[in-house]
Amino acid sequence: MIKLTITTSMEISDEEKAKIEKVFAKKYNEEIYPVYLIDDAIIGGIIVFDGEKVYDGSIRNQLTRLNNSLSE
Amino acid sequence: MENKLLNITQDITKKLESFDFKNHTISTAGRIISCNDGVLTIEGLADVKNGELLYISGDHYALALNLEENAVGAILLTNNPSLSAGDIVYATGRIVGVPVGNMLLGRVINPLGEAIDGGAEIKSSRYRNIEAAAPPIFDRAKVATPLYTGIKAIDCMVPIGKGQRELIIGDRQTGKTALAIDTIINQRDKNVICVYVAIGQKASGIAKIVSALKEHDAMSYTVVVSSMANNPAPLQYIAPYTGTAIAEEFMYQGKDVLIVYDDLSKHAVAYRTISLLLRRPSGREAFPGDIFYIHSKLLERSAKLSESLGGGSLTALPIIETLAGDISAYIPTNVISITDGQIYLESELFHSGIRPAVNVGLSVSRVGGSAQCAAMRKVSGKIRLDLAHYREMLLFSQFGADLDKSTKAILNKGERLTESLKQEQYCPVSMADTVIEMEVMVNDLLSDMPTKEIKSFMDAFISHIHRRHNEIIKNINRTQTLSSEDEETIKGSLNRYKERYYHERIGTKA
Repeated sequence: MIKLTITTSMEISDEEKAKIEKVFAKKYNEEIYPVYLIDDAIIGGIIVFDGEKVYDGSIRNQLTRLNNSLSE
Repeated sequence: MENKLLNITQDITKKLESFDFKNHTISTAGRIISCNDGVLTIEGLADVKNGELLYISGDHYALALNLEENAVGAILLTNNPSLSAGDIVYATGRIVGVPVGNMLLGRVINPLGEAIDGGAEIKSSRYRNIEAAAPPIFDRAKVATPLYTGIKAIDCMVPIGKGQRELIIGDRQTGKTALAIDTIINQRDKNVICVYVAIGQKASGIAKIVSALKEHDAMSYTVVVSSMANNPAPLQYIAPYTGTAIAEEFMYQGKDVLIVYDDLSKHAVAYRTISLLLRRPSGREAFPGDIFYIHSKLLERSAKLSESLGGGSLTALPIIETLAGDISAYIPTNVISITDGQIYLESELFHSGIRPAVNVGLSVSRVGGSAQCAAMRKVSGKIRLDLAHYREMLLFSQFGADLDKSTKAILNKGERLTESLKQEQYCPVSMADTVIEMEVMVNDLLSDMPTKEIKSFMDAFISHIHRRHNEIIKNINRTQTLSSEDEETIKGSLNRYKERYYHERIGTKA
């Protein structure tokens, strides 16, 4: 059983939640215990934390990476 | 102008188009389980390395020091962050490193390499890990070139060579920092880069030192790494390693570097704080078991490199503060056994007016004569003996008994030698001037002059030599010896100058 912390910028529908859980259940081959957080500071997209790795697909992170690559 | 703007917009558009937005970052992270007294216990972070820098959102950093099976113990490097249990900690993948290079000269930075002097941000293309291996044996050369401190007592009797570690040890307020700062000021125009590491000092003290260095034109070749008393203990702990990494960069470029650690006693206390908070077992005086190792690995990085590696050198002047003159306490004995000698400053000497308060009997330089020029070596042996005899006879003179002629002569000479070794702060004396002055004193040529007047007389005489007999100075600097002809010239000039001096004094009195 793996605890997943899923952060989105706004409420997502039950279908979308089910989709996410299915993908990660397949990846880890284990049951998922999901925790959903809302944080509008990430602007958009999704961040998933499984206790060991952070999968950062937020718009905030994309903008940060863009900023870093432009200032090189 | 329009073309330039057009180019810039094209550049940006190109970069935007080629940017891969879908390349989402996957970072190793953990979650804070507990956070107390600046120590974080983190679950997760399975692949983190020892000494790795960890990032917490909000620009906070921590240092991973305790790697256990199910948790990681890390210490915070920033003050007062508002963290809660459950916050995410990211691994940066890199060991703590600092920017290095010439852009650091003249700057004051904190141990993480950030500027704290209000100037421009530190940007560098080169970074160095603060922890690095010391140069192996076959990469080193013998310490043979002198590093002049500009302080007569030290350059004469406790000489320091480039690549040596010389400990400055003494009670509080005995002039330890003043000695180090004078040495830094003396390196102007000598092609030596200086790094001053302040560990746990008052901010006002550091400001005073920086302004003194600026006033004497020393900041242009000095880097100040400062971790003040209000910085968290981990920051104070890494400060000397930061300074050493910066200095090593210059050393491996073939340059000569001087580094001052002020002071390692506070460094030991900071490391004790960290170890106790990380619940590591404590030993003598509550210090952890590796308290010797943190200083030995630091000081071993000072070396004189062989010619094949550029011939650079890193000379270290660690400072240790003793309590009530006890140099046999735990940390002082540790560092004494690591360094190549010590300069022992005594508060009794300081309060009786002998400044710099160097106890010549207890101070030693294990490199000694091989890092001294021939001129200095000639006079230093005699002076040390004379001062040793003087100290012996001083006890007898306190009895008020009648003394025979030879004892009186020894006391006379010793008194005058001690007087001439006194020196003002921020007044470094060049090697040639020291040689001439010591030559005069060791041959007891001023035995008829009252002790009080010796200093002002010698100052005037040295300037006289510079004006009238400048070739002697040039000869000494060129050949690094004092020829017998130059000796005779000095003696003759001294006699004539003495007559004139008394004549003028009698003249003004009348």
